[in-house]
Amino acid sequence: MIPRSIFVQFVHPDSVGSMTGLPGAPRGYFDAVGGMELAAETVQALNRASLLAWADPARVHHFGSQAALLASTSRSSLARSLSEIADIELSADQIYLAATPSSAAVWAMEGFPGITRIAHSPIETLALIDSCQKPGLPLTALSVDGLGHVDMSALADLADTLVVLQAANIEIGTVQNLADINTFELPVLVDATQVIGHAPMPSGWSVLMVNAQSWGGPAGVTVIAANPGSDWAPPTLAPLGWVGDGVNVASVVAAATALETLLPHITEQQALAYDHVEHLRSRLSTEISDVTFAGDPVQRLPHIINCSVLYVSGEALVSELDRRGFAVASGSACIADSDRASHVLVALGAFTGGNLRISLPFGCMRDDVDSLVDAIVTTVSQLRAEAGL
Amino acid sequence: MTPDLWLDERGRRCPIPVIALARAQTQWANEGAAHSRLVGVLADDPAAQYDIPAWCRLKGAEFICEVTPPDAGLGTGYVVRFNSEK
Repeated sequence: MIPRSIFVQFVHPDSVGSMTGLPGAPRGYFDAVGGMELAAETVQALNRASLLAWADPARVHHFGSQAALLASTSRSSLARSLSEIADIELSADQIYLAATPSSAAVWAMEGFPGITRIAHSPIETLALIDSCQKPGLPLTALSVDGLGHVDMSALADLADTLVVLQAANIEIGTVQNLADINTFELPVLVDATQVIGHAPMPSGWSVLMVNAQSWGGPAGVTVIAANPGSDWAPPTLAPLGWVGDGVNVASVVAAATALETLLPHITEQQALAYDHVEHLRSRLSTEISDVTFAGDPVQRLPHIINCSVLYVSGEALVSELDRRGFAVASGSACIADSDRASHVLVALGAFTGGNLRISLPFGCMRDDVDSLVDAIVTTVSQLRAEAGL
Repeated sequence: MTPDLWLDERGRRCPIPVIALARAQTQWANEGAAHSRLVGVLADDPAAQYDIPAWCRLKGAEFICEVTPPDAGLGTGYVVRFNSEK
């Protein structure tokens, strides 16, 4: 059992009894990848830390020192929690904090000595792919199979190459075999977003980065952890663990609190979500004709499922589900703000129309899942009837 | 290679071009599917470039190629073959 330092400091003892440590799951919300409602403990930590840690933590005066102390306590907490999850010994000075995944990735890449090439696959997040261009090194494209597994065999011929990849794909849920990379003895920068908080973290990474929203933390905190066994070193001085212009200290306190309070629930939530998604897939495939699934059905994140419903517009599907009180995401091109089909689905050669990206928040119950399936079945038959099918 | 049938779905957004293709396949099956049939779909929705080949893989049709529309107009022609097993 790890010491609950943040928990004690920021969550009022009187209210602890009524708290579960789990972020809430608003009814009908199935877009955990897009963010989760903060747990009561996390909200309290955020509010209290906002009152104490508003000054610049780099300042020498006592207001600044107070903010710096809270930031430092949070790094210790994150180190302990991540050590437990990843089964590794991390200390506070191996934890760094960035405001965005892109700034975290670009900064982390600069810390690998002797790198002359970067290898990544086409199904990484667009932010990660974009970050790989920044150092200006030659790039190697790793191929992916139809289920979204990155083929590591091309790494056999490469030396001094940094491998950049997601531990699991956040759109389709496929979990990569990190151990496959280790045989090549290449450094690996792993984005563990949607893994930390939901699934066991495999070993085999040199530097790990993760958006704190992955475990129910607030937006605007990306945590970087350096594996003590790697020869990575921070590329710029970061005495407070800050990357670039720094991070809101109160958000960091809240992120650390969210992970501490979630820890005792992770294993149970993982098993529940895995079964829920199995149930979702089974019901969708039997109750809807012409539905196709993307991603590995077994070696996957517990809470993510991706399917495409033929002969239905993704935009109509998502809007109609929203009207019925169900929030889901979609990788279809016709969804308002992208106008381009999901680059992940395209790389897999998967069907991009009528796409649904469903990700279960913590605390999701079987009833919630069943009402979502009922709504999808009704909506699909309505939309197909309107199209004369 | 000239398609036996052109379906002009330009100006229509996804999933309409794919629905048209599925209807053509159903009609071909209803007619007995005695001979293979080459069908061209004209579409200008960018999703068609991914979804027509993906639909072919799912529905046992063969995606042949992309061509310039025969009227040299906008959009792309997607040529698909329904293969007869007879």
